[in-house]
Amino acid sequence: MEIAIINENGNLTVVLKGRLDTLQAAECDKQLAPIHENADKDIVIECGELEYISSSGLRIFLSILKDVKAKGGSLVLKHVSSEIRNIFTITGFHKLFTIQD
Amino acid sequence: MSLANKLSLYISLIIIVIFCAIGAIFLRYGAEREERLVSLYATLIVDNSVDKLDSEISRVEGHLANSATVVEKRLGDSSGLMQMVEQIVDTDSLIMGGCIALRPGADGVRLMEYVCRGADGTWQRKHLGDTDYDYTRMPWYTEALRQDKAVWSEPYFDTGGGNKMMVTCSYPLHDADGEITAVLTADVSLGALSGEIARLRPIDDSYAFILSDKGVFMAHPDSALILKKDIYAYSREKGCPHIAEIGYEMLAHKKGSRHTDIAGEDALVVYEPIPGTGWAICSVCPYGAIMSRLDLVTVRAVIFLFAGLIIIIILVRLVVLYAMKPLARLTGAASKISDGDLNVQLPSMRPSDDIGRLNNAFGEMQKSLRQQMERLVETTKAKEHIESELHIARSIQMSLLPHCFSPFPQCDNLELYAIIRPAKEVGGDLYDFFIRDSKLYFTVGDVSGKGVPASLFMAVTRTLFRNTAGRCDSPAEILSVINDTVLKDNDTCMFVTMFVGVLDLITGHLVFCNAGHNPPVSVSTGGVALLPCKENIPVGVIEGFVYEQESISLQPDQSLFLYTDGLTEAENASRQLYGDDRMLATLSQHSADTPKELITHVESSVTDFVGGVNQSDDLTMLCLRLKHEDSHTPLHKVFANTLSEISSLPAYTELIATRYGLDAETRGRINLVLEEAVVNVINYAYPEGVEGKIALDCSHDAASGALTLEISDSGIPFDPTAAAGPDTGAPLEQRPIGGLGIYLVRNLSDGVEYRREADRNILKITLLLNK
Repeated sequence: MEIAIINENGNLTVVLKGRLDTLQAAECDKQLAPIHENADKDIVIECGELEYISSSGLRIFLSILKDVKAKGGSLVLKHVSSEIRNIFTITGFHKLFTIQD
Repeated sequence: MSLANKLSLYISLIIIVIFCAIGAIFLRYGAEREERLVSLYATLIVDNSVDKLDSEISRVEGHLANSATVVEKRLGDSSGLMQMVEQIVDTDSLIMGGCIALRPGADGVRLMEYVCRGADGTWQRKHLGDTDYDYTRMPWYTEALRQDKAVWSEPYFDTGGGNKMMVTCSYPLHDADGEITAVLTADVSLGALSGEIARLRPIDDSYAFILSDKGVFMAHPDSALILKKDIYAYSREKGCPHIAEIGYEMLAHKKGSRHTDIAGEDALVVYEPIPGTGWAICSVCPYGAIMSRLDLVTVRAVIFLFAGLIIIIILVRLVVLYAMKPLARLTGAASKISDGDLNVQLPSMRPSDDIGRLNNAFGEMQKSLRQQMERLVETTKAKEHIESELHIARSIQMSLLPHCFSPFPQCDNLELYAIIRPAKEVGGDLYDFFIRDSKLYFTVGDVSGKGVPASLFMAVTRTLFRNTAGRCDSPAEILSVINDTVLKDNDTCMFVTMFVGVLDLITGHLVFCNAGHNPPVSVSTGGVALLPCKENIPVGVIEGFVYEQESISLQPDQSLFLYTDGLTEAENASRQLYGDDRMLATLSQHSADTPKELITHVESSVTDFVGGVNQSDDLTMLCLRLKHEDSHTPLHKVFANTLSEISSLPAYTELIATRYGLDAETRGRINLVLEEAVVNVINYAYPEGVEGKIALDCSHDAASGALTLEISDSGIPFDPTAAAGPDTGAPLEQRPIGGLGIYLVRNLSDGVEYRREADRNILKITLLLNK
C-alpha cells in the first residue's frame, strides 16, 4: 500500500492507497508515527483509495483517535468506501469516528 | 625357471653330451688300441721267448760243438769217455745228462757211455753199449747220422734217467777223414722250458703252448696234453678247425698273429717258430681278458669323467650364480619400482657389462618416471582445482533455476515439472517459470555452444527473462526486450533459441512466442503432435527484430512438452539421432501420465537409446498441464504459519470468486473473513517458534447457496468462538485497541463453528450467498 502525509499550515492530511491488511499494518503504523506526535492538530485521513482494511487497520485508526482525543486535536475520515463503512458499522466505529464524504 | 637355473641347466646338458661323446670315442678307440697293445706285447713276449729258447738251444749246441773237437781226438781211449761226458754235462746246468755213442764199426762193437745228474746231485754213470738198449736204432742217433749236424729229438719222458720230460740234442762226431764216428748227446729237461713258457703271459688269463715239429704239445697249461696229443687231435676234440689251421701255420714254420676262435672263445693268437729245432711257440690271449683289462680302465675313466663332470657342473653353477647375482638384485629393485616405490635405491654396479648397462637404463627410467609422476601430480592438482570451481559454478547455475514444482500453493490445478542435464559441468540450456497475477510465465532456451561460455550467457538470459517477464505481459514483448538487451553488448556473437509462454491459469489461454526453438509437443490422450509455431529468429541475432506471438487454448488434461535439441539430437554408438519420432512415440505411450512421469519416461528412453555414449549436448525438458476440475472439487490450499502467507489470500479469494461468480463486495468480505481467521490461528494456535501447516478448503452447496470455508491447523487447541465479543456501544475511552478480528469474522459470516478433530483445530465458516 502507499501512505502519504501532507502538512498544510500545520493541518495534517494522511492519504492511504491500496490494501491495509495485517501484513501492511506494522509498516503503516511505523509511517504514521508523525501523526501521533501531532495528535493535538487537526488531522484528516483520506480513505478514497483505501480498498481494504482488516482489524489490524482498525486498531491503527483507533489508536490515533485515542491520541487525538487525549491531546485535544481532531480527526476526520474522508471518502470512506461503502465496504469499509460497513465494517465501521459492524464494529461500532461509526459512532466513534467523524466520517465525511 | 630363473635365468641362472636355465643357464646352469643348458650348460650342464651340453657338458654331459660332450662327455658322453668323448666316452663313446674313448671306448671305441680304446678297444682297438688295447687289442693292438696286447697283440704287440704278446708278439714281443713270444719273440723274446723264442730268442731265449734259441739262445739256450744254441748254447747247448755250442757246448757240444766245442766239446766235439776234443772228444774227436780222444775217441780212441774208451776209458776216458765217461769222464769227458761228465765234463760236458757239468758245463751247463741246463744239461741234465749226456752220452757218447760210438758208431759201431765193422766189428759191430757198440759203445755208449751215459752220465746224468742224480736227484741228490751225484753222477749216475751207465755203460749202455753192451746192454739190450740198441741205441743205433734210436731216432736221436739215426737222425744225427742222417743229417750230419746237430739234431734235436722229439720230446720224451726219460724213463731211464730222471723221469722227466726231456729233449735230446745229438751232435755227430767226425774223424780226420770226415766220417761220422760217434754221436755226442746232451739231454735237456723240458721242465726248464716249461718255466719259460709259464711266463709267456702278456695278460692274465692268457696262455702259451709249444708244438714239436710233429705237432705234439711240448708245453701247455693243461699238462694232460703234453706229449700225449698233437694239435690236430686237439682240434678235432674241441671241434674247432681254427686250432688245426694255426697248427698248420706253426708247423710250416710261419710267424704271425691272428684273431680267431679258439674252442668257442674269441682270442688273439700270436705264433712263431723256434729256429734250429722245428718247434713253434704260440701265445693265446682271450678277448674277454683283453676287454676285462679295458673294462677296468673304462670304469676308472668313467669314474674320473663323472667326478670331473660333477666338478664342472658345480663350477658352472657357481659361475652362473655369481654372474647373475647383480641381475637378481636389479630384479628386486625393479619389482619395487613396479609396486610404485619410485624412490627405491638401485644397486650400484660397474656399467661395463650388459647388466650394468641395464641397471643404468633402469636408473634413467626411474628418474624420468619420477619426473612424470611429479608433473602428473601437479596437473591433477590444477585439474582438481578447476573441477572444484566448475562444481561450484554448476551449483550456482542450478540454483538459478526453480526447483520447486507442483503442486503450487497459488494454483493447485497446475502440474509442472522440469529437468536439466548439462553435458559438461555447466551448460547453456535454461528453463524458468513463475506465477504472476494468476498467470504462469515460462520459458525453455538453448544458448549456442556448450560449457562455461554458454553457461555465462545462459545466466544472463535467465536473469533478463525474470526481469522482463516480471513487468511485461506478452511473450513477444518479453523476447523483443531480451533480444535488444542482449544485442547491446554481444561481442561474442552468441545467440539463444527460446520458447516463451504465458498461460492463464484460470482460463487455460496460452500465449506463446517461439524464437527459433524446437517446437513443443502437445500431449493429450487424443494424440501427440508438434505444436505448429510461427518462425522467429533466435534471440541475439538481429537488433530490433519484431517477434510474433500466437495463442492457443490449453485444454484440461492437455500437456505441453518443451525440450532442447539435446533430446532429439542425442546420439548413440552408431551415430543415430534420438529424433522426433522416438520422442513422439514415447510421449504417446504415456499420454495420460503426469508431466513428471512423462519427463521420467522420456529421460529413461533417451538414456537407453544412447547406451554408454557420453552425452554430447545439454538436455532440458519442461512439461506442464492444467488439470481438469469440476465445480464440486473443493478449493484446497496449504500454507505455513507465517504472516507473509496472508499475501496469497487475495489470489485465493479471487479463485473462489471466479469459480462461483461472486461480486466485489462478497469477495472483499470473504477476503477479510479469511484473513482475520488465519491471523487469529497464526497468533494464538502456535506458540513462538513452532512451525506448522494451515489448510484452507472452500466448498459451495449450489442448492442452499452456502459457501463453506474451512480453516484447519495443527496448533495447540484454540477455540476462537469462545472469546467474548467487544462492546461496540462502549465510549471511546472504554474501547480496547484489539480483539476485533474474530468479532468481524462472526459478523461478516452467517455461521462460525469450531471443532477439534485428530489433533487439529477446525474452524468452519458459512456464508449464505443467496441471502
